[in-house]
Amino acid sequence: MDVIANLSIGLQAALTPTMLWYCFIGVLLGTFIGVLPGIGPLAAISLLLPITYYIGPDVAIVMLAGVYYGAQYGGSTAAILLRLPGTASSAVACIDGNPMARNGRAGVALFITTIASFAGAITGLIILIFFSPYIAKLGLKFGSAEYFALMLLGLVAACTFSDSPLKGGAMVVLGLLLSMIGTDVNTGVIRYTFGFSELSSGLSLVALAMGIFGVADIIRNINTIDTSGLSERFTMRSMLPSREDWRLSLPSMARGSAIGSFFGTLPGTGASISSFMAYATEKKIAKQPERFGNGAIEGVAAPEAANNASAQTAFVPTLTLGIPGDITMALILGALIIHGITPGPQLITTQPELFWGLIVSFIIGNILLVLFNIPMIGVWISLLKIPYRLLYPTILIFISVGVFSVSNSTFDIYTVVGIGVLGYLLTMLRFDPAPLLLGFILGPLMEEHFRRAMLLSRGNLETFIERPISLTILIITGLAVCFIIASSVRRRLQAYKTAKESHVT
Amino acid sequence: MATRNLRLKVNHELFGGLLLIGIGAFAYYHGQQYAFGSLARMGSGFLPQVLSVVLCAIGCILAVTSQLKPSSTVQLQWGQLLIVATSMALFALLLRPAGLFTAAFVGVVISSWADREITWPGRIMLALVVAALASLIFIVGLGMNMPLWWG
Repeated sequence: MDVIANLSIGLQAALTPTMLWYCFIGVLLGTFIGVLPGIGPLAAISLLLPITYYIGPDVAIVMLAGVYYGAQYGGSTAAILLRLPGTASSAVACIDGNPMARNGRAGVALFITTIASFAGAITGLIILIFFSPYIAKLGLKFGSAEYFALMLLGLVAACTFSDSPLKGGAMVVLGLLLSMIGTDVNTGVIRYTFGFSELSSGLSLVALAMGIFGVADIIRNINTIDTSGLSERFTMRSMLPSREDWRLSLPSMARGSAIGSFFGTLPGTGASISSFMAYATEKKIAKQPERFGNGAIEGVAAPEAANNASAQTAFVPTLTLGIPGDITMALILGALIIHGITPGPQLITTQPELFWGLIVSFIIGNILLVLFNIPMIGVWISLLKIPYRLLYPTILIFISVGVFSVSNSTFDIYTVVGIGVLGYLLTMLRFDPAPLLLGFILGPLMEEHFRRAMLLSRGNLETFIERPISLTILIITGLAVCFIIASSVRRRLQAYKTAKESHVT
Repeated sequence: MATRNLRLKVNHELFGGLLLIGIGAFAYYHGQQYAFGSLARMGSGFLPQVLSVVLCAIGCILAVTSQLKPSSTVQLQWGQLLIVATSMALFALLLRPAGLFTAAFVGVVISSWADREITWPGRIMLALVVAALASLIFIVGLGMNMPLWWG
C-alpha cells in the first residue's frame, strides 16, 4: 500500500538521532515558552526562528513544528490555571477550563487537555497523510492564475473570521504593502528603502514577527498580568478524570477533531476559528447548555482537540500548495523559504524523505508532548508563578539578541522597535495584527503570480475567469465577500436598532 | 514615575482610520517615483500604488463610520510604550561599543522602569542576572559573534 510505503520512507528519515533530538528540543522549548504567562505560540516561534537559521531545513521545520504544538499546549495550561490566554485559540480554553480550575478540578482539566490535544493531533495527521498526495496532484494543474486566486481566497478567509472584516482587510493590505519593501524581483528596482541598504533585501520576517507578537504584546501586558493567584499543588491522583468525565469528553474530542481537521485544511483559517466553532457546536448540542462557562468538561475537550487537529491539517495547503493554512503556518512557510525550500505540489515527489519525514516526526513530537506533560506538569506550573515584572525585561533582551543574530546587524533591532510600536498602536486600536503577517508573507508570492498571469494573458484580466479552476476559486472568494458584507450590514442594522430603542426609553 | 501613567483616550475607529489614511497617503506619495506601467507590463510601482489607494479607502470608511455610531474609546499607555522602545534602542546602541553584558544591564534597568512594583535593589539584581545569563547563553554557549564588554 502507498501509505505504508510512504510512512516507511518517513520513518527512516525521522528516526535519525538529529531529527529526534531537534524534535525533542522543539517540543520542550515550545512548552517552556508557551507556558510562560503572556507569551503565545506565535511569540514562541518568532523567538526561536533565528536559532533555526543555524541548522538544516528539515530539522528546522521539525523543531519549529514541535515549538508550535508545544507552545499551544503550554498556552492552554496558562489559560486554564491563570485565565491568561496567550492566543485567541487558547482564549476558548479559558471559558470552561478556568472555572474547572477554580472548582478544584484543574488537574482533570489539564489531563483532558493533554488527551484531547493528542487525539486531535493524531486525527489531523491521518488526514494529512491520506489527503496530501491528492491535493498535490491537483496542485500540479495550477498555473499562476490559480495560485493567485487561491491566495486571494486565503486572505479573504482570514478577514472573514476576524472581529471586524474591514479592519482585518486593512491589516492584510498593510501586510502586502510592507512586503513591497526591498528589491522588486521582476525589475530589480529597490522600493521603499528610504536609503537604508539593510532594507534592500526586504523587511526581516523575524523582526516583523517579533515586533508584532513579542514587543507589542509586552507593552500591552506590563502591569496587567497578575500571576499571584496561583497556589495549586498537583498529585497524579487529582489529575485522573472520573468515568463520567470520560463519558462526556470522548465524543466531544471526536467532534472537535473533525471540526478542526476541516477548518485547518482551508487556506487562511486555522486554530482559533476551529476552537471557536468546536466550542459553539458543543454548546448547541449539549443537553444542558447552561453548564457551559461554569466548568463543563466538553468545553475544554472539544476546542483543544479542534485546535490541535487544525494545527496539523494546516500543513496540507502549506506543504502541498505553498499556501499557508494559518498565521503560524505563514511563519513556518517563511522559514522554509528562507531555507531555500519552496513548498508546492512537487515537494512530495521530488523530496519524499523530507515530506514524509516531517509527518512522521510530527507523530513522534505529539507522543513526546504527552510524555512530557503528564509527569512534568508540576514543573510547568512552577514556571507559571514567575512574576511578569521579572519576565518581560528578560524577554526583551532575548528578542533583541535573537533578531541581532540573524544578520549581525543592530539595524534589525531598531526595526523591531518600530514594528513593535506600530503593532502596539494597531492592537490598541482594535486591529488584529495577525492577518498583517499573512499578507506580508503572501505578498511577494501574490505579486509574482499576478504579474506572471498578466504577462501571459497580455494584460487581459479575463484570464482569471476563463480558466475553470481559477473561476471556481474566485466564485468561492466572491461568496465569502458577500457573506462578510451581508453579516456586517445585519450587525450594523441590529446595533442601530438597539441603540435607537435604548435612546427612546 | 509620572511617565508610567501617561495615558491617552482616543476613539479607536476614528484614530485607526486616520492612521491608515496617513500610512496609505505616505506610501502612495513615496511610490510615485516607481514606474506604474500597464496591466500587461506592470512596473515596480503598480501594486504599491494600488494597495496604497485601497488602504486609504478602508481608512476613510472607518473614519467616517466611526462618527455615525456611539463613540467608544481606548486607553493608550504611552509611558510603557516609550520605556520599552527606549530600552531596546539603547540596547542596540550600546551592543557594539559596550558589549552584550553592559547593553543587557542597561536595557533591563530601563525596561523594568515600566513596572509599578519593582524596587531599586530588585531592579539591579534582575539586570545583573539577565546580563550574566544572556552572556552565558549567547556568547559562551552559542558562540555568537559579539563583544562581551567595552573594547
